[in-house]
Amino acid sequence: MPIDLTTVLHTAELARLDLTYGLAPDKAQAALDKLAAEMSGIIGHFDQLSAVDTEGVEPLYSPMLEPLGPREDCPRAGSAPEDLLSQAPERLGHFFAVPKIL
Amino acid sequence: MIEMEPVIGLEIHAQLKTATKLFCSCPVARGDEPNSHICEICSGQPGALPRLNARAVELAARAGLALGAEVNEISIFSRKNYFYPDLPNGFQTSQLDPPICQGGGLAIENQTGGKFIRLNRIHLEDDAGKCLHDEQRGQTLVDLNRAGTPLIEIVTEPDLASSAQAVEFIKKLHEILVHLEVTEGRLEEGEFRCDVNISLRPAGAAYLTTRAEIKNLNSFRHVGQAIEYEIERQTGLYDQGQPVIQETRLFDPARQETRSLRSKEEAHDYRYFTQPDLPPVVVTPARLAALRAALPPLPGQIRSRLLAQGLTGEQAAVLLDRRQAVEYFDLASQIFDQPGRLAALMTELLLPACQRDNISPLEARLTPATLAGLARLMADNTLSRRAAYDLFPELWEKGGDPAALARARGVTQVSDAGAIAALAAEIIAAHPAEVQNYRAGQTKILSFLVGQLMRRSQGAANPKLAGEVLTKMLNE
Amino acid sequence: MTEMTETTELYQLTLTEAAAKLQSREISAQELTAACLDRLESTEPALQACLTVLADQALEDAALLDRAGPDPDQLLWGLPLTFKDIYCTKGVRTSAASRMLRRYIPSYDAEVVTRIKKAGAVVLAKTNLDEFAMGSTTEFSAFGPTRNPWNPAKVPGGSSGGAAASIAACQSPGALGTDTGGSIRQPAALCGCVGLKPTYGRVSRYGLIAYASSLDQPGPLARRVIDCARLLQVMAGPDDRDNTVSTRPVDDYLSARPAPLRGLRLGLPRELWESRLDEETSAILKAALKTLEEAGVELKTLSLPHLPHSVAAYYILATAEASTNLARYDGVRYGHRADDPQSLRDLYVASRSEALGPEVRRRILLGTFALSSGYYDAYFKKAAKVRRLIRDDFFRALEECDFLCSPVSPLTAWDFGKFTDDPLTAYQMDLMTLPVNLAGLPGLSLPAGLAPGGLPVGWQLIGRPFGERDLLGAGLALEEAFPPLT
Repeated sequence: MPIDLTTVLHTAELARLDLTYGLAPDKAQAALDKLAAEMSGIIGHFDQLSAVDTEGVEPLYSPMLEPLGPREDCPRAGSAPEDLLSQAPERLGHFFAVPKIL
Repeated sequence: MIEMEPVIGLEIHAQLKTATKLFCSCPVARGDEPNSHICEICSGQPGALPRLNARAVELAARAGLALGAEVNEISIFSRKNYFYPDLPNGFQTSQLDPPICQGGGLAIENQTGGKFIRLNRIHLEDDAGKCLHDEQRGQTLVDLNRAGTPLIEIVTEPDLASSAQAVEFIKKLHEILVHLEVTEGRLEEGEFRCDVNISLRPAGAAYLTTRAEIKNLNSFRHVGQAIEYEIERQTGLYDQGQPVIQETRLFDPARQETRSLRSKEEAHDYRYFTQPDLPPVVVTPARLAALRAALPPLPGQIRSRLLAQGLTGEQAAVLLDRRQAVEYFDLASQIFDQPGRLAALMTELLLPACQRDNISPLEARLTPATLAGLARLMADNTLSRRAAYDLFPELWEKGGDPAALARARGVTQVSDAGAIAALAAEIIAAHPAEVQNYRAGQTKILSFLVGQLMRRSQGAANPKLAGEVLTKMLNE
Repeated sequence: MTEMTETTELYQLTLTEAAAKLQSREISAQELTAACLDRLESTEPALQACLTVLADQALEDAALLDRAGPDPDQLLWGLPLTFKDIYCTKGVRTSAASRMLRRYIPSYDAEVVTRIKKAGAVVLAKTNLDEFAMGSTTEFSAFGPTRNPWNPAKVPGGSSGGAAASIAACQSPGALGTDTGGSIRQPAALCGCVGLKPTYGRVSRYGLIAYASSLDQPGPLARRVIDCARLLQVMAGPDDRDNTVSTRPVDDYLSARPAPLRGLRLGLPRELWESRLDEETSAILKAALKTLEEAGVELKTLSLPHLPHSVAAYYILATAEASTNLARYDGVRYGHRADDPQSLRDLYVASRSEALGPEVRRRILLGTFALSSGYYDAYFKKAAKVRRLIRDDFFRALEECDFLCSPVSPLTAWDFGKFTDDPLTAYQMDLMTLPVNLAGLPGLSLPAGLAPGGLPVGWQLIGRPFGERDLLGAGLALEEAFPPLT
């Protein structure tokens, strides 16, 4: 299936990616066109699956076998909160801080 | 103008009463320092994996059983993908298809009679953290203590037709889930919150029209008010020939109105798919049977039973409303089977004292056995009602044997027929005129004579017995 | 490469040899660690196999071990090992070769790291990889590629390319990698060493930075099959922090013995053997098959009809899972944050666009597309159905033979830049390895010979679920017939 630019841009927005980030305006369009062509090629390859007869086949989302059951409801210490907070790009006291949400 | 009728469906989020979060072993706790109950899992660190809390599964299944839903042997967790600072993984782990429970419902009663509100589903999911907005700094602050807290989401069919029905429904649902200890249900803590989907359609129509969703209502009153406002708003739109937009709205209790939060055009594409880090949730038929067997009676069933035991509707309601009150009542009535008398003592004395001292009945020093003893002394006329009530404060403080306390205080009633007959003879002898009038037909004088007898006994005589003895002697 | 001679340097010892010498105190942990560090220092400028070298810490840990003395219950006592830089190591930077995590210090150890340390190993270094394990050459590492020890003009394979190159160059006797679509087996083949991808769920993924959760599996790389057995013995088994790990008891891998070649039934998947191989690879492998046949191995060509769809199915499923596994890199709690974001959206978009590399962005985009409204059924769900057909093909084939055997890479190690501008062709290079991940089976990659151009050619054995012990036995037999290259 050929992928048009609108679909590529919409998909990028869903993924919070800017496909022309840091590119000069004159280079941006070329980069987008190239990406759309590339995506079309790859998704075109994916389209071969439509020819596979999967009538009545259950999807297999994971090959896990005899997995572990749920755990008991008992508190247990994990990572130290301060170790986690220390990785924050920006914090205020014990909070993670981000720009204000409108 | 066409008559319009509201069509209302609810989505209720109830926080499950577990010790730990849904996918990690951090404690579920409130009111502590921000980000003090976080680990690599609930803060979404690279490499961390979820491990499901078995208790949460049981509580969700219990809710389903109580609400007549079908509990699925296999249910699946999915990732619901969107970006928000309080969502550490960039996805919420929820259940799409199949959820843990499907179907079921709850009957409500209102002025126009009973109505059965169908449930669509109950599913498990984890809660997000919290964002605080610091206006001064122009920052949003993220606290992940709540992130990963287990929730069930209960989704109704659009079966509700008024704010009164909606409020009745969530009150009843709340009562059941709290009673079953599925949730603590503290509304002010956000442990029980409600989203309302509401639309209007021509009265009697079978189709649905565009709906608005009012998010995050955490009081019964606000649910009612928000629905009332929304009915008015949507009616206004229809009257003006304007379309209702499919959107998410927030209720502002201060201004008593709903406001648009975001319209469907900016809606998310959540890209649900099976969460590959979690195997299917299995509730085996054996496990389900065990859960069903362990299911305590529901409030409705208990109410019927209490009424059958002779309690008034009001007494039953008070007992049901208070934690452990029914258990206390049942223990006491196993010892002394006069339910009405026990219920009166509980509602008039015991439960108010519990409330005052902020303890639950089973924690009181005044045990069910003590209460049963007190009731027995009243029943066999050893204690007058007043004497019993006078003894209560000391029994509440210290517990112990009410008969011994009554003897020590000298407040037992004289219920000895011989002693009372002697007193009656004295009274009859001392009041010849009254006796004569009585015998002439002025039977009301009896209460005067009983009063005289009581006075002479210094209140120790059993008034009922005194009346009987006097009547008998006067009629001889 | 190094010939095994009478005067073997310490760093040349295989893992099993070194373990024995350490236990008998013929050598000390410090001596071996120091020898490996020296070797690392002299080879690293040309290879760039490691992103972080823990020289001081490793020597300190080795000294502590020596003071306590060897413990026969510790299978890896005193052995300096490396971890792919996608295993979280508490207090030690773990980057996944991404600018996003350039300064990320994990607050906890991955389960495999905990187990390996508990078994007495010394952590020597964190090895290079393609960013977030997305790639087959290490060219997508944000910190530059690793070079192939056999020829520095060639790629080492990937994504565990740093691990494979490090092992082949004798920087350490054993390495921990991960395999999502061939990321252990393919670099092992391109660098001429041994790599094992265990059954999905045999080893805990806890603390492994996720690429594609239903495909990722940790595994060992080493210079001998029995070395991999020893590492797997320590790694494998239930872990109460990974809900997908199998509860099945762990076999005794160390007791694996070479399987008799006579009568061994090897299935050759037609769809892989008949796909295009380069001449050198084809020649070496055909000669190798002939040798096996002469030794009495029954070779049986089998058809797994859905294998040609593996690349499409894999790249839909893996990228879809990756697109949401990588949603956590948002600049809020850790990792790269763009300077001075003006809004929340700006924070997300700028941080992610700046710090995620081109291949990672491409895969996120593909995966987001495959899951998005209107495309889910045609791509994601369809691929999951095809995945079942592929697994069923394997199960059927494995009933007709003891193991499947196939090439690992259609080409010997190639030049840098060969496929970087042609992602679809690059993806198709993975055809031999990724069906095994889709099916969740164990696969063992080992050398089949050295091509005339001086580059290794590898092949792989594919076993039944949790059949690692048998697989290792067959590997030991092949290793006897086709001597190790390093």
